[in-house]
Amino acid sequence: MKIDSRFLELTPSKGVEFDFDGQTVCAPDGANLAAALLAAGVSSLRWNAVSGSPRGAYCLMGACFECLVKIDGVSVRACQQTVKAGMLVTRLNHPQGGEHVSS
Amino acid sequence: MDADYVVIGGGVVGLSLAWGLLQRGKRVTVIDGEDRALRASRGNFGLVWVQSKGMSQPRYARWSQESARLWRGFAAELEENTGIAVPLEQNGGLDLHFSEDSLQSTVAKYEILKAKLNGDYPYDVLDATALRSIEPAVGPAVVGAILHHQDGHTNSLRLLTALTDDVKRLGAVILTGKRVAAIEKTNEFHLRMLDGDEVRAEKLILAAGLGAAKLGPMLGFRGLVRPQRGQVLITEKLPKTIYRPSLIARQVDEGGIQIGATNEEVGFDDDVTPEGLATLAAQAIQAYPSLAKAQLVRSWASLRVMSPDGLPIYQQSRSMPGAFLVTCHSGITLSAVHGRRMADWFEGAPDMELEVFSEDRFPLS
Amino acid sequence: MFPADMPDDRDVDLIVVGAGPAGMAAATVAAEAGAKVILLDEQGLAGGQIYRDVERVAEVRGDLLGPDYVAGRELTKRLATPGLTHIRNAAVWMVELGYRVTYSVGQTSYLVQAPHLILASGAIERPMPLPGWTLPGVMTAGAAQILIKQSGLALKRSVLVGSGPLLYLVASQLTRAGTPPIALLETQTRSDFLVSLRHVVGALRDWRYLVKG
Repeated sequence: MKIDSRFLELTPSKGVEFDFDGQTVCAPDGANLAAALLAAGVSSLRWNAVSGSPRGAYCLMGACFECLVKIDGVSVRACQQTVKAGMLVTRLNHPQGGEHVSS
Repeated sequence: MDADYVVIGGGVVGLSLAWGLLQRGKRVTVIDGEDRALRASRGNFGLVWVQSKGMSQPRYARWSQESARLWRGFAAELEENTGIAVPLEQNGGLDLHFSEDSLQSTVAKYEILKAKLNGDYPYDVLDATALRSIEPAVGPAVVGAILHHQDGHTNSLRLLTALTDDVKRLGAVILTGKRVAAIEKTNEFHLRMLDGDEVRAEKLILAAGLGAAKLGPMLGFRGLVRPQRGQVLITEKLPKTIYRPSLIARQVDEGGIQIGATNEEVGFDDDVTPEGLATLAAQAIQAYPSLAKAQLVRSWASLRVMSPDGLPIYQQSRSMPGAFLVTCHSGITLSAVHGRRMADWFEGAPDMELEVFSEDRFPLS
Repeated sequence: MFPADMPDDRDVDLIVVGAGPAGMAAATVAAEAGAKVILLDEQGLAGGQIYRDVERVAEVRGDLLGPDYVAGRELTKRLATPGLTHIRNAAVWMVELGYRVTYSVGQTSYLVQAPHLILASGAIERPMPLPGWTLPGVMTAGAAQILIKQSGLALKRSVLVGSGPLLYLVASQLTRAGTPPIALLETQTRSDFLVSLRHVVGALRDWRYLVKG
């Protein structure tokens, strides 16, 4: 598993691959998705729909809803998801992708 | 005397009326309730709506149309005075139909009304293809729609904020957390609150929503209003999906989609129910299938203020002249005409043609 | 409208919301006394925050996290008591008097009803809003703990800001993991400290907790 230099992996394990917004990410099968993305160096998970500011995981316990990502067309909290091989995860509200809500 | 007018009720109706009077240079005191009051002004769907109104009373259709025409200038003036933008979209509104029969029967009714309005009722009947070309998110279960060009929607909370700010700026006294305990009339109206506060004014306007049932009779009104519950759902903020409001769903300026609403006669119960919300969700998905993937972030229920025929009530008290009752369930739509024109009525202007809205129209039990 | 394949709720005596220490204890004690209990928890594994993922993690990182954490394993084992149904990944979103609880697992909603209800959904951290607090990479101290507990990830170059025991716990765990924080910015002022001195007698009476800290 490729770990971003910002983290120390305490119990190294075998990884599976999944796709995050076109980027291939490696993480242990069944790992917490938000943690796996952080470990891979991805700290910005979406753009805020109103202000466009980048947002990432904040509480990691499911209370704050900052870590929303899109899986199978549904917005879910990354901290409540587990990694599965081949899963497709995308960011919300891409400013370029025409997805950004303008007022 | 503290004021020329005391307005009981600080919701969208009371504030709009106060605004109009303040613009005329009148001194106005607004009395509002507590945080636990019913507050229909905060729970509504934000529509500025013309179609389907006044089908059996063309005057109501014309009144709604007048308000819709006044809305843009009204919102602009509020924004200029307060710096608070009141978002308004008036690109038409849709009445979606799931069967040809219901669509044609509605068209037939609209044609009758249109004739009574000398043709001033601009709407198009859209078949499925035409509808989907302007509203791509609509699903196959919808066979067609009526697009009425005078319909639109706004953000009710911003309207309330702007109205409150401007009413204060214009010098109104606003008393909150109050409950009216007693009203007396000598040469002026003398109100006593439950907490001991008193207000005296030359004239009085009762704009307290469902509160008219209890306060109305104290002033010589019949106060024939009853609650009708509407449950509502709000989704997460989404990319632009719905371009025109319908009675099933609309997308607000910040991106959330509001789904509504039920029509339930359950007394003063403003709770949501799983069955009610499930029904709303199912209907929304029938109309806009892509909503099946939308996450819901909030639900609430609010109580509409319904008169026996659903039309507004504008009545001056006979036993206490100078006291006026104003109530409606379309407070958002009528906000502009309430702000711009009702001050004339309170001040005794003739020929306003509002007699059809008096309490006299209701049969005596 | 709601699926038919929900748990058979004709006999449910008690619904417990939250499988942290309180919820687990309540559900277990009731079930051991003969009640039919449904335990609803939003997470995939029981434990709440303090015993987060303890079923899976106790063997893997138990010595790093300490005996207090591992003790949670006993609670999760007792969830196997007959009469106790533990429903995972259940987000409770409506409770009506009676009590009727509506919850979702994935994309499906369910209803369950019982005459008794215990809410044991625990606490969340009180965030400290500062300019910049929404920047990616800014997290709560609890989040740092969750990363260690659940995912075995220790932040290498962290700055800790705030006050209170959780911050020091996180600092000590990061240190023990070999990645001490760069800095700990303590926001408690001297006057805060002086004000709290009136509790010192009670604190000394509970000297066992003091020694632990």
